[in-house]
Amino acid sequence: MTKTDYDVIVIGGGSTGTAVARDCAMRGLSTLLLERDDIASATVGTCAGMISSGLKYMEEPDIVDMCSAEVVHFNHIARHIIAKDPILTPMLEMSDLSTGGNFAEEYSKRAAERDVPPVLFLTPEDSLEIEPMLNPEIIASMYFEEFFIDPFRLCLLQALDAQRHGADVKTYTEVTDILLEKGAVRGVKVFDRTTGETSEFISSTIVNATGPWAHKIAALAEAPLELRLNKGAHVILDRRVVNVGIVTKAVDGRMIYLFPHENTVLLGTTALDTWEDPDTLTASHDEIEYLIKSMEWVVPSIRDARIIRTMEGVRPLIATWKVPEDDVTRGYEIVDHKTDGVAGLFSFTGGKLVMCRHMAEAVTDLVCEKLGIESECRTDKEPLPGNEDDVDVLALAEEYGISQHTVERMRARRGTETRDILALTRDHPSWKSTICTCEPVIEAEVRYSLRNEFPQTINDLRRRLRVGTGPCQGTFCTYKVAAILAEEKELDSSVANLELLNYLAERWKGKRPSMRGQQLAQEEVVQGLYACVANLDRVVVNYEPGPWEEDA
Amino acid sequence: MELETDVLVIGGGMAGLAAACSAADAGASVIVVRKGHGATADSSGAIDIAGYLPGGNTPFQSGREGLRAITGLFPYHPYSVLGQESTETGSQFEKALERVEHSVNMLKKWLSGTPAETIGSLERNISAVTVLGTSKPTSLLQKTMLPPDWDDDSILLFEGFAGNPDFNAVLAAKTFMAERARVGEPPKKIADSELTLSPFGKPYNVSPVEIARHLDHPGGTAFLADSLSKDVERTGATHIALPPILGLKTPAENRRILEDRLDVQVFELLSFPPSVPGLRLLRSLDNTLAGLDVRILEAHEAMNYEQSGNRIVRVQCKTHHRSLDILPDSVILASGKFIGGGITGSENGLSERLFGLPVVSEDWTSTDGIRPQRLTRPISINSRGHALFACGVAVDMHLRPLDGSGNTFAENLFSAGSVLAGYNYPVEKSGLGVALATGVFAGTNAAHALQEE
Ligand SMILES: Cc1cc2nc3c(=O)[nH]c(=O)nc-3n(C[C@H](O)[C@H](O)[C@H](O)COP(=O)(O)OP(=O)(O)OC[C@H]3O[C@@H](n4cnc5c(N)ncnc54)[C@H](O)[C@@H]3O)c2cc1C
Ligand SMILES: Cc1cc2nc3c(=O)[nH]c(=O)nc-3n(C[C@H](O)[C@H](O)[C@H](O)COP(=O)(O)OP(=O)(O)OC[C@H]3O[C@@H](n4cnc5c(N)ncnc54)[C@H](O)[C@@H]3O)c2cc1C
Repeated sequence: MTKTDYDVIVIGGGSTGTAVARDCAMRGLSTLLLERDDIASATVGTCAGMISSGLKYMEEPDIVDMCSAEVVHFNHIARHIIAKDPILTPMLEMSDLSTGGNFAEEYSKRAAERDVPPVLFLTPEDSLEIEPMLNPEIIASMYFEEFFIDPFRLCLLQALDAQRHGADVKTYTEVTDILLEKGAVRGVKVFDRTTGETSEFISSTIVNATGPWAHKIAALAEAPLELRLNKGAHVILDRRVVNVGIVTKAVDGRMIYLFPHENTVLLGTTALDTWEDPDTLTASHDEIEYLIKSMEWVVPSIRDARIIRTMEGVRPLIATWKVPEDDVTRGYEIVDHKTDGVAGLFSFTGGKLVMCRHMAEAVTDLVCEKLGIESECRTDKEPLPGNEDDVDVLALAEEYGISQHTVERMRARRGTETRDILALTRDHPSWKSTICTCEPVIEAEVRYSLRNEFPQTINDLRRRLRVGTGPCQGTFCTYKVAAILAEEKELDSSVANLELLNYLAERWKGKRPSMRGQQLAQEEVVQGLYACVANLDRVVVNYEPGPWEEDA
Repeated sequence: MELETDVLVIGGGMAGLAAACSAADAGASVIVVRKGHGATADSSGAIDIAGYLPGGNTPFQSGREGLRAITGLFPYHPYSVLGQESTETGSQFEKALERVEHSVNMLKKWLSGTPAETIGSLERNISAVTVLGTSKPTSLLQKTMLPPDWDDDSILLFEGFAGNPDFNAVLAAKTFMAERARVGEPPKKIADSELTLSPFGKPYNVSPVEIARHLDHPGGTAFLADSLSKDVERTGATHIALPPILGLKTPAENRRILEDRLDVQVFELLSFPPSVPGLRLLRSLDNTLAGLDVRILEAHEAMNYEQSGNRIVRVQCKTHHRSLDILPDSVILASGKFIGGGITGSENGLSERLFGLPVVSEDWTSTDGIRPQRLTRPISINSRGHALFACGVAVDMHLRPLDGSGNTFAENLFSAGSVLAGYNYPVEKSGLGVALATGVFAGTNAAHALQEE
């Protein structure tokens, strides 16, 4: 019989919810994590992954302290999925300098604990030597270093680690109601998106970690909750326009950035208040042009690169009104709805990826206190899966006859698991075949993920493996991945073909707003393969348009 | 350096090569400049004439039926333009049919005896089978790709190759079978299997082109037959579907060896790029042109042009090591769409690259200043298609591009293939057919224009 009673139910499988589930499970609570879609399928998957020392919130020293400490913790528990990037802030005029002072001081104060150098001020010559693509007319720049984490892997590893500590993790399970009894929560009602069935889970403690949907979940318990929802766009370009990160002032004086990531760069971000359903959002032309125009001043060649996709996410900010988005605190709050007459329900507002472990610790303390359990938080001490040991990429590449680049990319997702994945190719040498050439990803990793990481769709595999995230955006790997998925999960051909179409639709969502230049040729290839040759525009499947395809 | 020629063809895909062949056939001296591989090299081995109306779900029974529907409904479709010369009502279709039929016959002649030898007609569409196990209507196929006849007792084996993830026999077989069961047609029994072929050295990242090269080597196909025999025995297969790997040089011969040794019928599936059939087609046409004394200048990009009065008199071409001026009497623009590089687009709208011709949409309305996103639909793969892929240049009844005021841009400039507006090949399934027919017509027109002088 399936278990239905839990000490705590966590709703939401983003950075916050997975961190909470991990903490609760590690402290010995029987824990259930419920996510309506896949792990990391919402806001966290659209973020830059910068675990920032606090560039944007220097006015809030407590938060800067907290973030700086969190970076140290992450480097301890998850260093295999973290990379450090140098960053320049090129300045074109004196007024650009005004932003520098306070930041440099605050950053440098905490540099040593993070093992990075203090902020350096560079001459134009030195700046251009570090990054030749900068506008030669710059008058100075600041140099500092920040850490970046793979947000998808972080969430997944937190969820897997929660499982290892006894938690149940249910994806594609949507909370549709909160059961109440005498001024307290009694459990939740859920809808299984895969089977279409409804059921109930019982617990007197519920953590609402649903990011920009938190007010909707609170409303199910008739508890009031206010958020300031603020959307942000990213643009991904097909080449390393720059080799170091760039932070600069946008057309309206906000700060924006350009971060190199593998063979691509990430340009972001905008900040616009929104009242839309986050599921329906795509990047707008204005947002794309705002970002490119702003970055063009300091990196004049940016328009030469091909935009391969855009993404749009919604920040669940603490409700502070009549101030610009930039002035809203970057901190988080935990709302105990007991005061609203709903005991046992805790909701998050605000927060960031970098704070997710901290947020989890705080709420788990409250949960333990409520349940009368004394247990110490260990999430900052015990490594996440894959971080147990160093991995010798060169030796593995040689042992298996696979390129170093391929093995290094796998290591950056997998850490020590790399060894287990490569070992699969001993019995199945053909699994060394490259499935996604852009990233690259080999067949063994696809199979490993399907067997161990509970993906349901190709899009889920993308989050776990990065298949289809490179310059061709899944043109050449989607049908190959669909076939492996069908084989491993014994899918009907109609389900497999529907899966394929769903993934093409998901990629299209991000590509369509920015269609231009070489991307048009890429798109003609997609139509050539899947419509012209495969005739999938005519196959009989029950395709359901996504929320963003409504006007179809 | 300067070169003189009667006809200069810009672009070496299906449209450009067909134009060059027909101009040379008509006696003109011809030079082709080709920047690189376009969409033709990616094509799957089928030559589509007309499969569907955009948005429609019932396939045309024949190319002829498709031409009739298209010329009746879409006056700006290239097929309709082919029929425009005829002023009598209702006979546009007949004129178009005549021209398309003529070009199909020419193509069959050009490809006869080559590795891309092609069969089929405008009288009956063929249901071709793809590497995904889906089917699509097409008019002509490379000979080795024609699905054989089967009956209720036939057993069809889908055979894949270990380490070649381009083709998954398990899913292809399932998809094909489900479709057959739905329409209630044979074959009724299907099997799948995967071969591990050791002669390639490594059992992973095996490309179809590599396998094809191997089969062209002496003994390569016989070895494949031996390897296949176990699977044939085990499954009792009467027919085998292979990804298109039967060789770049002698596919028909290789197929015969397999069929003789295994006593089964063998055919190849339509492929995705890297496409062995696409390469066969391109190489075969290249060879035909060589036989007609046509020069193909590879890696030459037409960069600029000079006009004198109403004529193009000079086209400047560039490779990485030299530049070359060609002085043509007639020019054919066959530079393809986005893949070929004939049309490009920015956030400020679409443009034709070389002559700066205005780009129009399906119904020849201007796309000036429209950003590409607005020419697309929210759903990526849909049967109506995206207007974006029907955009291109507008032409007069001789396939001469029009300028912004609807006048002929230059009296000696013709155009053909996917640089043209008015048809949406991914959903219509009309890509190579339009390229072929407009190519042949443009080539003939360019050659005739010379004689008129
Ligand atoms: C453009 C942008 C850039 C950013 N960059 C950074 C950065 O560089 N560094 C940083 O630290 N932070 C960054 N952030 C902020 C950070 O991404 C978010 O604050 C954080 O990831 C939010 O995580 P979450 O888990 O709270 O929310 P989410 O990731 O949105 O997770 C909530 C989950 O709840 C699920 N859910 C909703 N309703 C239900 C239901 N009824 N039943 C079950 N499940 C449900 C959703 O499906 C979703 O998966 C950025 C944000 C944006 C928008
Ligand atoms: C993946 C895929 C599969 C397809 N499969 C099929 C199929 O099975 N059947 C079918 O009927 N259709 C198919 N099509 C469609 C078909 O391939 C195209 O419609 C057709 O090939 C277009 O031919 P074209 O000669 O007009 O253009 P292209 O083949 O693109 O040729 C354009 C040529 O022009 C050259 N060029 C461009 N600019 C210049 C310049 N300035 N100077 C010199 N050279 C230049 C390019 O390098 C290229 O050689 C497919 C398309 C794709 C993308």
